[in-house]
Amino acid sequence: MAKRQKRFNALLIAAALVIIGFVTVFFVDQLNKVISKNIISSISEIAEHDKAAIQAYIEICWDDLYEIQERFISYGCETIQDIEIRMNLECATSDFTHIYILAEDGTVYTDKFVTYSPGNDILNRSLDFLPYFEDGRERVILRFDDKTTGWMTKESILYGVCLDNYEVDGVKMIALIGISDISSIQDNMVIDSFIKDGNSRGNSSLIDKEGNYIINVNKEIHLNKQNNLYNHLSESLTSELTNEEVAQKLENLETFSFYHTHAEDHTKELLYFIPLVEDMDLYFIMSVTNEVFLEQTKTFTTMSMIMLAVSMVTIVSMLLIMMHNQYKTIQATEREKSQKEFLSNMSHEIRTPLNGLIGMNHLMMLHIDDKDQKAQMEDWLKKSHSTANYLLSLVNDILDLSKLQAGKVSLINEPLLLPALIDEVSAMQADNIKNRGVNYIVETDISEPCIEGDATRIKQILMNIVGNAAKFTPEGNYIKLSVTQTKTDDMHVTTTFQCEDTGIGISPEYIDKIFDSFSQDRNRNTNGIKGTGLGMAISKLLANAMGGDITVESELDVGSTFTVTLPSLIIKEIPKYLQETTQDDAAPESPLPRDKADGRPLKILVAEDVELNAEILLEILEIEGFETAHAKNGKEALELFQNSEIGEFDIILMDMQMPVMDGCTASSEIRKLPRADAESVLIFACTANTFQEDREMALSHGMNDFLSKPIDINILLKKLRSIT
Amino acid sequence: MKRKLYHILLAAVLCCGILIGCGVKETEKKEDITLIVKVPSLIMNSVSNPDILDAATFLQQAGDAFAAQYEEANVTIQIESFDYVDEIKAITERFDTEDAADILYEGYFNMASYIHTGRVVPLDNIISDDLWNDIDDASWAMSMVNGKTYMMPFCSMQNILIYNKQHFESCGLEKFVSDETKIQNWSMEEWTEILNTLAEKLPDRTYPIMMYGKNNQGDTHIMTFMRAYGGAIFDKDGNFDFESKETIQALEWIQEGVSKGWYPPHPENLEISDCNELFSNGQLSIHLFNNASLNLYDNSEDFGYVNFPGNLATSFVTGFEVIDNGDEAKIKAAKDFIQFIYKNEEWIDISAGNIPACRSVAEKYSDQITMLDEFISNAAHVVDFMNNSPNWQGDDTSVRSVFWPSIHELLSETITPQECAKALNEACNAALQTGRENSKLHE
Repeated sequence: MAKRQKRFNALLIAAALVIIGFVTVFFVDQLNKVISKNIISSISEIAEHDKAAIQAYIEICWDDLYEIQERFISYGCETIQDIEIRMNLECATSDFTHIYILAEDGTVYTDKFVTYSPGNDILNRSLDFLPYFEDGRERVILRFDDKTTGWMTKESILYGVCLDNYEVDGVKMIALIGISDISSIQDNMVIDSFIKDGNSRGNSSLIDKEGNYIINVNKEIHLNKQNNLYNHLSESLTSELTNEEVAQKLENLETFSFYHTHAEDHTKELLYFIPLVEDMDLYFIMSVTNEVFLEQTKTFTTMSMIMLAVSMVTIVSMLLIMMHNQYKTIQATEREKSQKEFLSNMSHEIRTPLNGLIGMNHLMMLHIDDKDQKAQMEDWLKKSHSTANYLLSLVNDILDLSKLQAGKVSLINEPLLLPALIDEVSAMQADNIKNRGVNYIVETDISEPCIEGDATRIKQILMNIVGNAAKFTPEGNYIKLSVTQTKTDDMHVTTTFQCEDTGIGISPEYIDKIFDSFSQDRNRNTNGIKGTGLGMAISKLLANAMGGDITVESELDVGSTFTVTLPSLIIKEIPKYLQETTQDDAAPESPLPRDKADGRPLKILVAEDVELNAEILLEILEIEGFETAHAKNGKEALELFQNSEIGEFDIILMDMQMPVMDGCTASSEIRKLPRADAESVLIFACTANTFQEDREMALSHGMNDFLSKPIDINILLKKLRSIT
Repeated sequence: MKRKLYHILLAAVLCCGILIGCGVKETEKKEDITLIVKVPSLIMNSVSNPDILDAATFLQQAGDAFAAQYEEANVTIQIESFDYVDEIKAITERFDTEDAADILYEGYFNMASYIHTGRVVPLDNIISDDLWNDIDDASWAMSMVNGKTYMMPFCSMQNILIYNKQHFESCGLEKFVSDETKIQNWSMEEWTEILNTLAEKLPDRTYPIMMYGKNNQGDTHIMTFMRAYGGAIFDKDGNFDFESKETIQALEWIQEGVSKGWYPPHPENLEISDCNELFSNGQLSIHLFNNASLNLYDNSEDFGYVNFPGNLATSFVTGFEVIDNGDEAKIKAAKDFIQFIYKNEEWIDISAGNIPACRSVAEKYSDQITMLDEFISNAAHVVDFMNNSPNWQGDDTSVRSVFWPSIHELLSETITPQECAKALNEACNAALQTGRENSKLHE
């Protein structure tokens, strides 16, 4: 569920990121378009302004010429020389560098008194102006690169106005012409915007209908570099409009703009065209490099991107928080559900044997005086005993599982002898298996018999898997426990325990959850087989806690194979005590010593606050021939021991949790007593808490050993045997 | 055997290494150098190579030839022409920029001022004894300041006047027309008579003599007119002295010509180029002339030659300057280029046409240079119009910048000759003073 939720969340985040990506790209694209539109609009405004200024300047120049002609009359210029003198004076007070008057026959009279006859050049300079006025235009403006000193050329603009019926000295004058240095009009075309390092990145130009640059501000305009717009566009790397399209638009006097890229430096440039007044046949062009656009948009785009990023991060964070909360809620719900399920299972699993116990007790009470029912009574007692044992193992398993799930299990890693451990497991399971008519085979290939590990827990795992195999393997089949080792290095070895059976196998649906708690293959014919459904879960958790794993392969009606792998440290030298244990284990069990050397029975002080438990234990011990005494709490036990004769008590069975004084305190106090037997008396902790820390706590308070409740009398006796 | 083979291999490797090493060294040494040579619009009249008609062409061809054979660097000679009126923009305003001139080729009267900026490099170390002896002392003297040679004379032009014989004859002035090709001298009375007669008798819109006051171009010629009555212009300390009796008399004579119709109307609004056109178009009888103008007039028999009023002539020496722009490699290459021109006959001979600075060239082409003998004979009439004055050419404070406005006003008749002389004295001496104060010479 959690995995599916995580996958869903990951997909959700990925989808959110993709959407954010798309939104960002779309946003930036739209942003650029809007900014670009705004800049074009701003360029349009600047261009319109400049165009108006240029147009006004040109109009002024033409008007100046008309006014000069008017002054010819008002000043009474009757001769050509009068006209020349007038032109000379006008030139001195105007922006014109030269003023000429053009006669009908093409003769040009100048403000410098030089007369240019048609076809006659003076110092390589000819003034052939007639063609400019032949097409009937009233006003003329064109580029005129004037050769003034024979070889130097001045870049100039020619302004001309046609004269109507103007005769001087019998010569019909047809046009008045003013020549102006190109800088005078260029000054009106300098773009003050888009400045960087003192230079404008905008360029303004004036072209005629043929695309010839009349003025090209900011560009190097030495004559040999002078060019034509169409030539420029032809040399472009890319251009949004063809020359033909541009020509068509110029012809139609359209205002338009388009981008083109220079071939030389790959600079992208926007060209904005505006026609001047119709009879000028001139176009004003403003060009601005893309660099300007990028600069203009940079700050805004950056800010917008930051805002967008912050928004997106906020949204994603909120989404993640929401998903996290949702995940936690789901987890909590699952946990609650799991707890409910656990409690429900627990309730079911505990109630079922309890119900059996109560039922059988009830039956036994009903027939307690019925001597004919003795056989029946014995059967009920056996079943009660079996059911109580099952209940005990269930509680033990639940506690184990809880500890393991909480990660609170402390493994006791000590040197262990693997062959002995396997023998022990086999011994414990052999009768059970053989009684079922199943063949039990053990195969070992052990290179490192002594390893470090928690023998108890390893046995627990093996008991689980072998026990399970025994449960589900029908008569006539076999169970094989193989143990092999693989050395990973000089110091470490991986031990593989494989339990193979030819039993009923596990259904595919169940095999996936075989290691889940309370899981049992209910679909199979296993109902008659008793189990807590926790064994595999515990085994899995234990194997993982030991750094190993447990896996299963199974085929229905063919059998199952459980494989446990456990890494461990190699112990090169087998500790002496293990060798002795081995020898001891091999020796025949000694009889239970119930008596002291003087023939008097061993006296056991039972410190137990629960009357029933105390009664049972005292009764058993007495039946077994021990002398007993009972203390209801730790303090009473201390006093009893304190008041006893030296050596009177041989063993104290000390409950850990008791009122007035607990077992640990009482033990400590007993050990402190100034008596000869205070240190030697054996004290066994008796507790329902079976965890390692409880064991350690008991030992730390001077107790000799540990017995878990309910006390298995056989174990108790075994321990007593071992200490005498 | 193995040992021998080893030695052979080692020797081969070492040889290769040396060769490669040399090759690398050679490549590394060849630095890319672009020399910017700035030159005004100067007509050339070379007899050694008639295809070269202007100074820019001469320098470009010589530069290409120099670059082709120069081994110490990959040199590119970049010629930039400028109009005389744009001198400040082209030279002064370009100092300390990437477009600064490395070599300047023009008249001394323009270049001399740059010496005092401390930017002009002395050229003494490229002047061989042969070259020193081949150029006359007067030219060297004009090229030197404080004993160091800052300019390299290439050629010179003598400025006199030319007149239209046909105009003279049509106005009854035949007696002043010489049948010989010689430089005439007229007294001031004769000048006055000639100009009055021409003013009276020339057809409409044809004028006796040039005069202009629109800008600083041609100012040196006006200064020569101001010497017409013997005024020295400079005092013994090298300061201007325009207020001498003789100079004021000359100014009066000049201004008198305005009302007498000696000049085209409103000469204050004309510039020298306008007068060039008027004379060339037959609308002016007397105009300026020098060696460079010879090609402008096809039929030399139609023209006569005369010294300025007062029987004076001036000489424009043209040559080279090397500008220090902080790059030693460029300075060296620039000096090598100038040396290359003077050492190669092909290029030093281009000076023939004008008056060559080198005697050897003059002697070689003496029979081909028009009027060479006449100009040499006329040397006695040549006056030093500059007097090695600092701050002659340059910004708004220079002599040339402050001189012409007063002449403009004189010709406009808005000030008297005395006022003009006073204004000129104040303005031009202030310019000299500024020049002296700011004078800094390159070591």
